[in-house]
Amino acid sequence: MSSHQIKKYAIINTSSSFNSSNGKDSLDAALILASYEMPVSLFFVGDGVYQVQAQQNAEAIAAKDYIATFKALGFYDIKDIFVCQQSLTERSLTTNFVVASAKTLTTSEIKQQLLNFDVVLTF
Amino acid sequence: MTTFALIITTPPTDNKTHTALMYAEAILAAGHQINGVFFYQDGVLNANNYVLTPSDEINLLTAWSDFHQRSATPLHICITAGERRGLSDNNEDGFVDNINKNFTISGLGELVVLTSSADKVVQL
Amino acid sequence: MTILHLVRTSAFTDDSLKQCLNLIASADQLFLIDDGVYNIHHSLIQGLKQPVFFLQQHVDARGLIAGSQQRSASYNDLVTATLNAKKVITWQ
Repeated sequence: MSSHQIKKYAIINTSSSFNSSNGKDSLDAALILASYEMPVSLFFVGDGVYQVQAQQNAEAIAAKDYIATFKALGFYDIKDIFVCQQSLTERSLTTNFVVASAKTLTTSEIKQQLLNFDVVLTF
Repeated sequence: MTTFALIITTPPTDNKTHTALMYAEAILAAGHQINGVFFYQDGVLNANNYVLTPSDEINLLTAWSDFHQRSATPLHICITAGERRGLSDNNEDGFVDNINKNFTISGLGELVVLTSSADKVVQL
Repeated sequence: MTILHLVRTSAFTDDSLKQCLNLIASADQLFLIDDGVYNIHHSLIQGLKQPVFFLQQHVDARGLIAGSQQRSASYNDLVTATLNAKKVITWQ
Protein backbone atom coordinates (compact mmCIF):
# COMPACT_ATOMS: atom_id res chain seq x y z
CA MET A 1 0.00 0.00 0.00
CA SER A 2 1.47 3.31 -0.99
CA SER A 3 1.47 6.25 1.35
CA HIS A 4 -0.74 8.51 -0.70
CA GLN A 5 -3.46 10.41 1.01
CA ILE A 6 -6.55 12.26 -0.05
CA LYS A 7 -5.71 15.70 -1.38
CA LYS A 8 -7.91 18.31 -2.97
CA TYR A 9 -7.03 19.05 -6.59
CA ALA A 10 -7.87 21.99 -8.80
CA ILE A 11 -7.23 21.77 -12.51
CA ILE A 12 -7.10 25.10 -14.35
CA ASN A 13 -7.77 24.83 -18.05
CA THR A 14 -6.40 27.73 -20.06
CA SER A 15 -6.26 26.20 -23.55
CA SER A 16 -8.85 26.26 -26.32
CA SER A 17 -10.57 23.03 -27.34
CA PHE A 18 -8.55 21.60 -30.20
CA ASN A 19 -5.39 23.64 -30.82
CA SER A 20 -3.39 21.31 -28.57
CA SER A 21 -4.08 18.10 -26.67
CA ASN A 22 -4.21 20.05 -23.39
CA GLY A 23 -7.98 19.83 -23.01
CA LYS A 24 -8.11 16.09 -23.48
CA ASP A 25 -4.95 15.42 -21.45
CA SER A 26 -6.34 17.54 -18.64
CA LEU A 27 -9.63 15.66 -18.66
CA ASP A 28 -7.80 12.30 -18.61
CA ALA A 29 -5.87 13.45 -15.53
CA ALA A 30 -9.07 14.66 -13.86
CA LEU A 31 -10.83 11.34 -14.45
CA ILE A 32 -7.90 9.32 -13.07
CA LEU A 33 -7.69 11.55 -9.99
CA ALA A 34 -11.42 11.07 -9.44
CA SER A 35 -11.09 7.31 -9.85
CA TYR A 36 -8.57 7.39 -6.97
CA GLU A 37 -11.24 9.23 -4.99
CA MET A 38 -9.40 12.53 -4.95
CA PRO A 39 -11.75 15.52 -4.88
CA VAL A 40 -11.25 17.40 -8.15
CA SER A 41 -12.58 20.81 -9.20
CA LEU A 42 -12.24 22.07 -12.75
CA PHE A 43 -11.67 25.72 -13.64
CA PHE A 44 -11.90 27.17 -17.13
CA VAL A 45 -10.19 30.52 -17.62
CA GLY A 46 -8.86 32.46 -20.61
CA ASP A 47 -9.19 30.47 -23.83
CA GLY A 48 -10.12 27.51 -21.62
CA VAL A 49 -13.69 28.81 -21.58
CA TYR A 50 -14.04 27.70 -25.20
CA GLN A 51 -13.81 24.05 -24.02
CA VAL A 52 -17.15 24.14 -22.20
CA GLN A 53 -19.16 25.85 -24.92
CA ALA A 54 -22.17 23.89 -26.21
CA GLN A 55 -22.63 23.33 -29.95
CA GLN A 56 -19.03 22.30 -30.62
CA ASN A 57 -18.53 19.61 -33.26
CA ALA A 58 -15.19 17.87 -32.88
CA GLU A 59 -15.97 15.32 -35.55
CA ALA A 60 -16.15 18.02 -38.19
CA ILE A 61 -12.37 18.41 -37.87
CA ALA A 62 -11.60 14.75 -37.03
CA ALA A 63 -10.78 15.69 -33.44
CA LYS A 64 -11.48 13.42 -30.48
CA ASP A 65 -14.82 14.44 -29.00
CA TYR A 66 -13.62 14.63 -25.39
CA ILE A 67 -16.05 17.53 -24.94
CA ALA A 68 -18.89 14.97 -24.78
CA THR A 69 -17.25 13.48 -21.68
CA PHE A 70 -17.82 16.73 -19.77
CA LYS A 71 -21.48 15.72 -19.59
CA ALA A 72 -20.48 12.55 -17.73
CA LEU A 73 -18.30 14.25 -15.09
CA GLY A 74 -21.06 13.84 -12.52
CA PHE A 75 -20.69 10.06 -12.75
CA TYR A 76 -17.05 10.49 -11.74
CA ASP A 77 -18.07 12.66 -8.79
CA ILE A 78 -16.59 15.75 -10.39
CA LYS A 79 -19.25 18.27 -9.51
CA ASP A 80 -17.41 21.57 -9.27
CA ILE A 81 -16.99 23.04 -12.72
CA PHE A 82 -16.22 26.73 -12.67
CA VAL A 83 -16.02 29.07 -15.66
CA CYS A 84 -14.44 32.52 -15.53
CA GLN A 85 -17.09 35.18 -16.19
CA GLN A 86 -14.55 37.81 -17.26
CA SER A 87 -13.05 35.45 -19.87
CA LEU A 88 -16.54 34.74 -21.25
CA THR A 89 -17.35 38.44 -21.47
CA GLU A 90 -14.05 39.29 -23.18
CA ARG A 91 -14.84 36.67 -25.82
CA SER A 92 -18.52 37.60 -26.27
CA LEU A 93 -19.55 34.12 -25.12
CA THR A 94 -22.76 33.11 -23.40
CA THR A 95 -23.29 30.67 -20.54
CA ASN A 96 -24.66 28.04 -22.90
CA PHE A 97 -22.36 25.35 -21.54
CA VAL A 98 -21.99 21.74 -22.61
CA VAL A 99 -22.35 20.73 -18.97
CA ALA A 100 -25.43 22.17 -17.31
CA SER A 101 -23.95 22.17 -13.80
CA ALA A 102 -21.06 24.49 -14.73
CA LYS A 103 -21.11 27.73 -12.75
CA THR A 104 -19.63 31.08 -13.64
CA LEU A 105 -17.37 32.82 -11.14
CA THR A 106 -15.74 36.24 -11.14
CA THR A 107 -11.95 36.39 -10.94
CA SER A 108 -12.12 37.39 -7.30
CA GLU A 109 -14.36 34.39 -6.58
CA ILE A 110 -11.90 32.09 -8.37
CA LYS A 111 -9.07 33.63 -6.37
CA GLN A 112 -10.97 32.85 -3.19
CA GLN A 113 -11.76 29.29 -4.38
CA LEU A 114 -8.09 28.54 -5.07
CA LEU A 115 -7.36 28.77 -1.35
CA ASN A 116 -9.25 25.50 -0.86
CA PHE A 117 -6.92 23.19 -2.76
CA ASP A 118 -3.77 21.25 -1.95
CA VAL A 119 -2.60 20.82 -5.54
CA VAL A 120 -3.26 23.03 -8.57
CA LEU A 121 -2.47 21.74 -12.06
CA THR A 122 -2.73 23.77 -15.27
CA PHE A 123 -3.28 22.63 -18.84
CA MET B 1 13.43 17.32 4.49
CA THR B 2 10.57 17.98 2.09
CA THR B 3 9.31 15.58 -0.57
CA PHE B 4 8.60 16.93 -4.06
CA ALA B 5 6.71 15.46 -7.00
CA LEU B 6 7.50 16.96 -10.40
CA ILE B 7 5.38 16.84 -13.55
CA ILE B 8 7.17 17.57 -16.81
CA THR B 9 5.27 18.16 -20.03
CA THR B 10 7.91 19.62 -22.36
CA PRO B 11 9.98 17.66 -24.93
CA PRO B 12 13.79 17.39 -25.04
CA THR B 13 13.85 19.95 -27.86
CA ASP B 14 12.47 22.62 -25.53
CA ASN B 15 14.83 24.59 -23.27
CA LYS B 16 12.10 24.60 -20.59
CA THR B 17 12.96 20.94 -20.04
CA HIS B 18 16.47 22.01 -19.08
CA THR B 19 14.90 24.39 -16.57
CA ALA B 20 13.00 21.47 -15.07
CA LEU B 21 16.19 19.45 -14.74
CA MET B 22 18.07 22.34 -13.12
CA TYR B 23 15.20 22.79 -10.68
CA ALA B 24 15.24 19.07 -9.86
CA GLU B 25 19.00 19.27 -9.24
CA ALA B 26 18.50 22.30 -6.97
CA ILE B 27 15.88 20.44 -4.91
CA LEU B 28 18.30 17.61 -4.21
CA ALA B 29 21.22 19.99 -3.64
CA ALA B 30 19.15 21.72 -0.95
CA GLY B 31 18.80 18.38 0.84
CA HIS B 32 15.26 17.54 -0.20
CA GLN B 33 13.83 14.53 -1.93
CA ILE B 34 11.88 13.94 -5.15
CA ASN B 35 9.57 10.96 -4.86
CA GLY B 36 9.22 10.87 -8.61
CA VAL B 37 9.30 12.83 -11.84
CA PHE B 38 6.24 12.18 -13.97
CA PHE B 39 6.66 12.83 -17.69
CA TYR B 40 3.34 13.60 -19.36
CA GLN B 41 2.27 14.96 -22.76
CA ASP B 42 5.35 15.81 -24.87
CA GLY B 43 7.50 15.26 -21.78
CA VAL B 44 7.52 11.52 -22.50
CA LEU B 45 9.79 12.18 -25.50
CA ASN B 46 12.62 12.68 -23.01
CA ALA B 47 12.71 8.87 -22.65
CA ASN B 48 13.21 8.15 -26.36
CA ASN B 49 16.49 6.25 -26.83
CA TYR B 50 16.61 7.26 -30.48
CA VAL B 51 16.96 10.99 -29.85
CA LEU B 52 20.36 12.09 -31.07
CA THR B 53 21.82 15.53 -30.47
CA PRO B 54 24.91 17.18 -31.98
CA SER B 55 27.95 16.63 -29.79
CA ASP B 56 28.18 20.31 -28.81
CA GLU B 57 24.62 20.39 -27.45
CA ILE B 58 23.19 19.01 -24.24
CA ASN B 59 21.49 15.64 -24.62
CA LEU B 60 18.65 15.70 -22.12
CA LEU B 61 18.18 11.93 -22.29
CA THR B 62 21.76 11.53 -21.10
CA ALA B 63 21.26 14.28 -18.53
CA TRP B 64 18.08 12.74 -17.10
CA SER B 65 19.71 9.30 -17.10
CA ASP B 66 22.69 10.67 -15.20
CA PHE B 67 20.32 12.43 -12.79
CA HIS B 68 18.49 9.17 -12.19
CA GLN B 69 21.65 7.15 -11.66
CA ARG B 70 23.14 9.65 -9.23
CA SER B 71 19.99 10.23 -7.20
CA ALA B 72 17.87 7.09 -7.74
CA THR B 73 14.96 9.45 -8.38
CA PRO B 74 12.25 7.49 -10.23
CA LEU B 75 11.48 8.85 -13.71
CA HIS B 76 8.01 7.76 -14.79
CA ILE B 77 6.58 8.10 -18.26
CA CYS B 78 2.90 7.98 -19.09
CA ILE B 79 2.86 5.09 -21.56
CA THR B 80 -0.39 6.17 -23.20
CA ALA B 81 1.16 9.56 -24.00
CA GLY B 82 4.30 7.70 -25.12
CA GLU B 83 2.55 5.37 -27.53
CA ARG B 84 0.85 8.34 -29.18
CA ARG B 85 4.32 9.76 -29.81
CA GLY B 86 6.08 6.67 -31.12
CA LEU B 87 7.47 5.23 -27.90
CA SER B 88 7.17 1.48 -27.55
CA ASP B 89 8.03 -0.97 -24.80
CA ASN B 90 7.71 -4.11 -26.91
CA ASN B 91 9.68 -5.77 -29.65
CA GLU B 92 6.77 -7.44 -31.42
CA ASP B 93 5.12 -6.88 -34.77
CA GLY B 94 7.72 -4.57 -36.19
CA PHE B 95 8.10 -2.48 -33.05
CA VAL B 96 11.34 -1.90 -31.20
CA ASP B 97 11.55 -1.09 -27.52
CA ASN B 98 12.92 2.47 -27.63
CA ILE B 99 12.24 3.55 -24.05
CA ASN B 100 15.39 4.26 -22.10
CA LYS B 101 15.93 1.90 -19.17
CA ASN B 102 16.38 4.73 -16.68
CA PHE B 103 12.69 5.51 -17.10
CA THR B 104 9.83 3.53 -15.60
CA ILE B 105 6.79 2.74 -17.71
CA SER B 106 3.75 3.99 -15.82
CA GLY B 107 0.26 5.31 -16.32
CA LEU B 108 -1.61 8.34 -15.09
CA GLY B 109 -2.35 6.47 -11.86
CA GLU B 110 1.29 7.07 -10.93
CA LEU B 111 0.67 10.81 -11.30
CA VAL B 112 -2.00 10.50 -8.62
CA VAL B 113 0.19 8.43 -6.31
CA LEU B 114 3.20 10.76 -6.64
CA THR B 115 1.31 14.02 -6.28
CA SER B 116 -0.86 12.86 -3.41
CA SER B 117 2.06 11.55 -1.38
CA ALA B 118 4.45 14.49 -1.92
CA ASP B 119 4.62 17.62 0.25
CA LYS B 120 5.08 19.84 -2.82
CA VAL B 121 3.87 19.36 -6.36
CA VAL B 122 5.46 21.38 -9.15
CA GLN B 123 4.46 21.20 -12.80
CA LEU B 124 7.11 22.35 -15.25
CA MET C 1 -0.62 30.42 3.26
CA THR C 2 0.40 31.64 -0.13
CA ILE C 3 0.68 30.50 -3.71
CA LEU C 4 3.86 30.63 -5.76
CA HIS C 5 3.00 31.60 -9.33
CA LEU C 6 5.48 30.56 -12.02
CA VAL C 7 5.17 32.36 -15.34
CA ARG C 8 7.11 30.77 -18.19
CA THR C 9 5.94 32.62 -21.29
CA SER C 10 6.12 36.16 -22.66
CA ALA C 11 2.96 38.22 -22.31
CA PHE C 12 3.76 39.53 -25.78
CA THR C 13 3.03 35.98 -27.01
CA ASP C 14 0.15 34.71 -24.92
CA ASP C 15 -2.00 35.69 -21.97
CA SER C 16 -0.51 33.46 -19.24
CA LEU C 17 0.80 36.47 -17.33
CA LYS C 18 -2.59 38.14 -17.59
CA GLN C 19 -4.39 35.03 -16.30
CA CYS C 20 -1.89 34.82 -13.45
CA LEU C 21 -2.33 38.48 -12.50
CA ASN C 22 -6.11 38.09 -12.58
CA LEU C 23 -5.85 35.45 -9.86
CA ILE C 24 -2.78 36.42 -7.84
CA ALA C 25 -3.41 37.46 -4.24
CA SER C 26 -1.44 40.22 -2.56
CA ALA C 27 0.44 37.75 -0.35
CA ASP C 28 1.31 35.46 -3.27
CA GLN C 29 4.68 35.38 -4.98
CA LEU C 30 5.27 35.96 -8.70
CA PHE C 31 8.35 34.25 -10.15
CA LEU C 32 9.38 34.67 -13.80
CA ILE C 33 11.33 31.87 -15.45
CA ASP C 34 12.11 30.82 -19.04
CA ASP C 35 10.48 33.24 -21.54
CA GLY C 36 8.50 34.57 -18.59
CA VAL C 37 11.53 36.79 -17.87
CA TYR C 38 10.66 38.83 -20.97
CA ASN C 39 7.85 40.21 -18.81
CA ILE C 40 10.21 42.10 -16.48
CA HIS C 41 9.43 45.38 -18.23
CA HIS C 42 5.87 44.56 -19.32
CA SER C 43 3.30 47.19 -18.43
CA LEU C 44 1.10 44.53 -16.82
CA ILE C 45 3.47 44.08 -13.87
CA GLN C 46 4.24 47.77 -13.32
CA GLY C 47 1.40 48.36 -10.87
CA LEU C 48 1.92 45.13 -8.93
CA LYS C 49 2.10 45.48 -5.15
CA GLN C 50 4.44 42.60 -4.46
CA PRO C 51 8.02 42.24 -5.70
CA VAL C 52 8.58 40.29 -8.89
CA PHE C 53 11.24 37.60 -8.76
CA PHE C 54 13.12 36.39 -11.80
CA LEU C 55 15.65 33.67 -12.45
CA GLN C 56 18.91 35.56 -13.01
CA GLN C 57 20.33 32.88 -15.34
CA HIS C 58 17.32 33.21 -17.63
CA VAL C 59 17.56 37.01 -17.74
CA ASP C 60 21.29 36.80 -18.49
CA ALA C 61 20.75 34.18 -21.20
CA ARG C 62 18.36 36.51 -23.01
CA GLY C 63 20.51 39.63 -22.70
CA LEU C 64 17.98 41.43 -20.55
CA ILE C 65 18.59 43.92 -17.78
CA ALA C 66 16.16 43.90 -14.88
CA GLY C 67 14.96 47.03 -13.18
CA SER C 68 15.67 47.84 -9.55
CA GLN C 69 12.14 46.90 -8.46
CA GLN C 70 12.60 43.27 -9.47
CA ARG C 71 14.41 40.68 -7.41
CA SER C 72 17.14 38.50 -8.82
CA ALA C 73 16.93 34.86 -7.80
CA SER C 74 18.79 31.59 -8.24
CA TYR C 75 17.47 28.06 -8.62
CA ASN C 76 18.10 27.60 -4.92
CA ASP C 77 15.91 30.65 -4.25
CA LEU C 78 13.23 29.06 -6.43
CA VAL C 79 13.37 25.92 -4.28
CA THR C 80 13.10 28.07 -1.15
CA ALA C 81 10.13 29.94 -2.64
CA THR C 82 8.44 26.59 -3.28
CA LEU C 83 9.04 25.53 0.32
CA ASN C 84 7.60 28.80 1.61
CA ALA C 85 4.43 28.55 -0.47
CA LYS C 86 1.50 26.27 0.24
CA LYS C 87 1.23 25.37 -3.43
CA VAL C 88 2.52 26.26 -6.85
CA ILE C 89 0.62 27.27 -9.97
CA THR C 90 2.58 27.09 -13.20
CA TRP C 91 1.19 29.29 -15.93
CA GLN C 92 2.43 27.87 -19.21
